[in-house]
Amino acid sequence: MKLSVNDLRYRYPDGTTLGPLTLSATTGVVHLQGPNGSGKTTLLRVVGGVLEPSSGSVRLDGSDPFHHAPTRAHIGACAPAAELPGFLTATEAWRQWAAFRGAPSWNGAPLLAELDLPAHLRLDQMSSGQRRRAELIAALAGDPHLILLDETFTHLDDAGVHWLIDAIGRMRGQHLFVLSHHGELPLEADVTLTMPQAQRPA
Amino acid sequence: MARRARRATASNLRPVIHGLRLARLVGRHSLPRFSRALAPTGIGLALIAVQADAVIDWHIVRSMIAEWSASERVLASTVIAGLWGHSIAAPMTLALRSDEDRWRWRVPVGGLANALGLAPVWLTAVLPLALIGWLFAHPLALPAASTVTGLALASNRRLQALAGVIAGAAVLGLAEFVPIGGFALLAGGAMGCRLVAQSPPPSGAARKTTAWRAWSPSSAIVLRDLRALWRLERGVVLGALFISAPAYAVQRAAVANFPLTGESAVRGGLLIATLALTASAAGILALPGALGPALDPRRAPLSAARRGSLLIGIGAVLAVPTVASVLHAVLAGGTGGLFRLVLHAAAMLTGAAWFAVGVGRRTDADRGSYLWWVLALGGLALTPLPFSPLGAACLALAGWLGTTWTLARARNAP
Repeated sequence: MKLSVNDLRYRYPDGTTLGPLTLSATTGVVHLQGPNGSGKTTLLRVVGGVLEPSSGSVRLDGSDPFHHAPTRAHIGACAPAAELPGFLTATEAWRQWAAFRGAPSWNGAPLLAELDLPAHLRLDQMSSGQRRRAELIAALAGDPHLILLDETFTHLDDAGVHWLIDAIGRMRGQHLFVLSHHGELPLEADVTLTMPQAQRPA
Repeated sequence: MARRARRATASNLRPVIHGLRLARLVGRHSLPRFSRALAPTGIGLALIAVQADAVIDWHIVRSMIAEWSASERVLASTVIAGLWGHSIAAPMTLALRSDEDRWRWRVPVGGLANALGLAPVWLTAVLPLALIGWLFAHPLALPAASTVTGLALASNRRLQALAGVIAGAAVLGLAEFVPIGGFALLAGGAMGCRLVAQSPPPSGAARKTTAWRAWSPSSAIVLRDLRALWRLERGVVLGALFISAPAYAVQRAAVANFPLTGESAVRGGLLIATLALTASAAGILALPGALGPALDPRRAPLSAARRGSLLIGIGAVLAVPTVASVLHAVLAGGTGGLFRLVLHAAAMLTGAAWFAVGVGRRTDADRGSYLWWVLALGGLALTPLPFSPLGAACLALAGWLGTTWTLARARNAP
């Protein structure tokens, strides 16, 4: 599947405009870098189909993830802050998302074991690091092609970082990872994009 | 062949299955908020219906509506539903787009399946209308319908201005109310202009309020709330003050001057317009009470005892008007007294529930607690004036502010 981002811009309600961003990739790792407040998270939300671009386009294999819901089944995302409902257990979370992505038979139990996560603990009862790991597994559930990781390394401990680097290394041949990370990425990226300066209203 | 048919059926059913799965998830996610919102809102709507019933005689309006044709009734219902829908659309959108609910938009479900999945949310908006429909044959239907209209008008800034213009124009139609009508028209129009032009940026206000210094942990919290009040919502405060004065004047004049035996469309319309401006009370109070986190951050530099006494003090101010209302209902007696007593008892329980929710629930640290001060001020103003037009206007003001603030603070941070 091919991700095509063409001249993408997002305009905040206060008139500040992010972008333009252009990207074309099929597999590998794309590193989105920029200082705090530069709009990395917002642009990842636009790419993930959560927000609608103000201009330009996002296409995953020719489909617009904002308007075409089934396209979002091919996108996994791990947000910078806890996003999934806290009443879900780690197991419920990945099962739910695997089902939503049309792969109810996908098994996340080995990943839970690798990341040493208690399967039946609710997300809101986990530590922030544990919760980040659980949300990461939910992002990978159902084997989506495009995986958006927003500052995910920041909230993981050393073991978690190593696991994620290893997992990306195993999957980067068949999947496309778009990672936002402030500073140097702890793995080699195929493409590095620097966020353009946001244009603030006069 | 059979396998292919089964696969095709499964493919067709997938959106529905996903919709049901989403509905289950959203239901679990929304249930606590939903249950907290629904009961107090229903009770509040009933309470204001009774309150309005005590202030205004509905005979005129009922007679007027009895003369309406079916198409006129449909038109009026459509207007009420439209106002409600318009007012609820923005806060519902904000609610659905909040950080807490962002995960929903990552779910690969669209169209009807998505609507099914979000049923627990949109039912919250639709149920009050259904309640009105259910009440249609009830004696309280008209006050309740007017309450919904008032709620709709009060919860949307542009509609507030529209309400001022409507009331002004209606009152202006009567020669004896020209000054009042003119004032209301002016108020509504000016407010509309100001709203269209938008309020000034908060930087000036921020500079002024930064100069305030707290002298104790308790005063730090109070100052923080007042600061948030002024910086974030001063446009609403000023607007509500601006429009409440003519609303009170119009209501008072209507109650004082209309002979109850007179039946005319103009007078009925005037009553509806007047009530639309003032009939926002307990129902509106209940809504932010139920939805707003509204309490101090858990890391506030206060001991548990001090924090508790601060909250009990605020809660007591809230409870006084409720108790006064109950006593009034008991002492007044007469027809419907028992029903009012029950409703007021329910309101008191609701108030206690607000308090319990506020005290018991750990809330977000960034929202502040100034809603409590709004409620307290409204209650304080109401205390000596149960069931008077002024009391209703004060309560309307407090409710109006509380709702608008709560809804306006639900920012859509992308």
